[in-house]
Amino acid sequence: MNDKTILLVEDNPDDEALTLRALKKSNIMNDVVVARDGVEALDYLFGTGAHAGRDASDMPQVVLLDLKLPKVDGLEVLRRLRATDRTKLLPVVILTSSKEEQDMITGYSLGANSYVRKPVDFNQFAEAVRQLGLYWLVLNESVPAFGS
Amino acid sequence: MVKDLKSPTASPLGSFSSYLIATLAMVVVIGGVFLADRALDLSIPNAGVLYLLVVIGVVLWIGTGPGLLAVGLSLVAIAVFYSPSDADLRTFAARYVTIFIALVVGVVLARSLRRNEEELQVKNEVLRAQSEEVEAQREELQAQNEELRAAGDSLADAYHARDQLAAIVESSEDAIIGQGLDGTIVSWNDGARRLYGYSAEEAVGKSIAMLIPPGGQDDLRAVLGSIRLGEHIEAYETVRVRKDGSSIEVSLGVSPVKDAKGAIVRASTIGRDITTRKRAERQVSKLNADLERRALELAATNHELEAFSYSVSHDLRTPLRGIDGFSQALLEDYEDKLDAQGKNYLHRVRAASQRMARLIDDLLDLSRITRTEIRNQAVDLSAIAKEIAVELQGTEPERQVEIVIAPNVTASGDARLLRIALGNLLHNAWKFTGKHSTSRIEFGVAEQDGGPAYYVRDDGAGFDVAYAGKLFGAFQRLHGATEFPGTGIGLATFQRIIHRHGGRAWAEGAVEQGATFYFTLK
Repeated sequence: MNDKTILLVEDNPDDEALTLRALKKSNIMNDVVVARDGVEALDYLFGTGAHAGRDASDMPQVVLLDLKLPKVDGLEVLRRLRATDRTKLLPVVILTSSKEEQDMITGYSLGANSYVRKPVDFNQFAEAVRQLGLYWLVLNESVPAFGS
Repeated sequence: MVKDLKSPTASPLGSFSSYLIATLAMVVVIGGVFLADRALDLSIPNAGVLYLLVVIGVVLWIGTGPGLLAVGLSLVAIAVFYSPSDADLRTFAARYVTIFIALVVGVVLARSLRRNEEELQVKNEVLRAQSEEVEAQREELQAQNEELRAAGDSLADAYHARDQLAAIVESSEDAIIGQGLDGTIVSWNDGARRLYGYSAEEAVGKSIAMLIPPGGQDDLRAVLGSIRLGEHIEAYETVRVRKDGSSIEVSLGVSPVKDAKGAIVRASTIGRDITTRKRAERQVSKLNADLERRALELAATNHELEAFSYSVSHDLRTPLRGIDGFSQALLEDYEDKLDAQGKNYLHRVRAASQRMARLIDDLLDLSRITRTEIRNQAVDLSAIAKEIAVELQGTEPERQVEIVIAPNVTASGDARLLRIALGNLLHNAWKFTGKHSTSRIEFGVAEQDGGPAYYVRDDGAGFDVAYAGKLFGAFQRLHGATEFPGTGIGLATFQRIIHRHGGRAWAEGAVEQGATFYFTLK
């Protein structure tokens, strides 16, 4: 279980801190890689740019993806992930404060596996993160990495 | 007076039959006289007078020849019947000669009479012939008169018909103009005078081109050309110039007019002033254009509002999450370093941020409801009420609440919005009965002003009627946050939904005696 990483794509440092804390509280000890914008996320996953030289075949277990990101936003990241064979089946959980129905529809249409709203109440947020962690890291079966 | 017994102008010596008649007449007379003489004892002079009369009569009526014969016979008769005695010989001779002379004179007189009469007769014949000719001519004239009269009658009919048609043309509101194929005006009705300003005297004889604004000459040529070919032109909209120089828009219909042989000799134009209509049309177009522009603007504004709401919902919540989250982090990670007061403050911080989050959500919902398009459909309100009731019971299963829902209550409206409205009412009912150990919540429909009024009734905390006016105000609350939680937006949202459906919302209630909220839909 420990070698499965979580890619957290989140631009807000507060949310980042709270998410990490929540994961810790849930005893989820996996490595969490944080990307602070869409470009960084893509670079990490494809082993380009800032993460050039990383073994791109080493994919995270799940991507927690915020939608409102600088440079390249969450939905665009999702679109590109789904357009590439290697990352087409990578589990992506959209984790966002947006209550806009359209975002949810677009997210699912583009191939997100799950859509979770970030509640303001921290306890609820922590609970959501815990459940996410348990589900995607423990219960859910994912396709082993491509082209390794 | 002269009776013509036979054909005119018998010859003086007559036909055999006339002699015969004369002879017979004489014989008769002589015989008569003889008898009379024997009876009455007539003397020669008296007999002579009788014979004279007969002779005259014969000459007059039969002819001179027979007259002379009658003379002869008379003399013979006298000689025979009155042969004198010797003593009277001279007297007899004298009387005989007198009678003879009288007879001859009688003949001559009678003959001239007769000739006069014959002349008269001839003249009569001529007159008769003339009179017959006159008669014939008179008959001819009469026939001609008849013809003339008949012609006069049909002419009168024609005039009458023409007058009627002229009256129709004159009384028409439309401008009816007759023009020759070269454009010269030959007729001009009152409608034309009213439309163009020229009187008939001013217009007839002039060219129709005087009505046409500069640049329209080609059109006129084209129109006249079509007319020459026998074509009709209908509803042709164009501009004309009145006598006072002002322009008017008219709708014209031009037709060719044929003579009795079928040749096209004229064009008849019926025109109508459409300036008012055109102006109205232009206004309508302009209004339509304005409306379209406004609609576009509205759409743009709506779009902006949506973008605004989107960023509000995301950007306002995030810091709130931080406030709440780090407060909690403090509470948990620094528990031992905080005293009760410190923890209390942090709890208040959390509560405040959570309340703000709810406010943001409610505001966003309210604005979304105003923006959303209503999709009308048949909605089963009973079913929705049931679902919400089940949901509510699930949140606090330990509560004893009797929820009565009238079955088969349907309405026409937007399903999502009605769900929110009904949900607000039921949530309120649930909330405000929370302080009672048992409660009853009812959903149903009543008759109001000839239409259905739907209601949610509870037997909970109710409200003070004095503040009823504030019930539906946004963020207005009639209870403190410590009594019952809430942002005060639920009823405002509910009311806005009902208003968007064209309905009415109102409430009845009393403190601690429950409340009933009613609404109608369009």
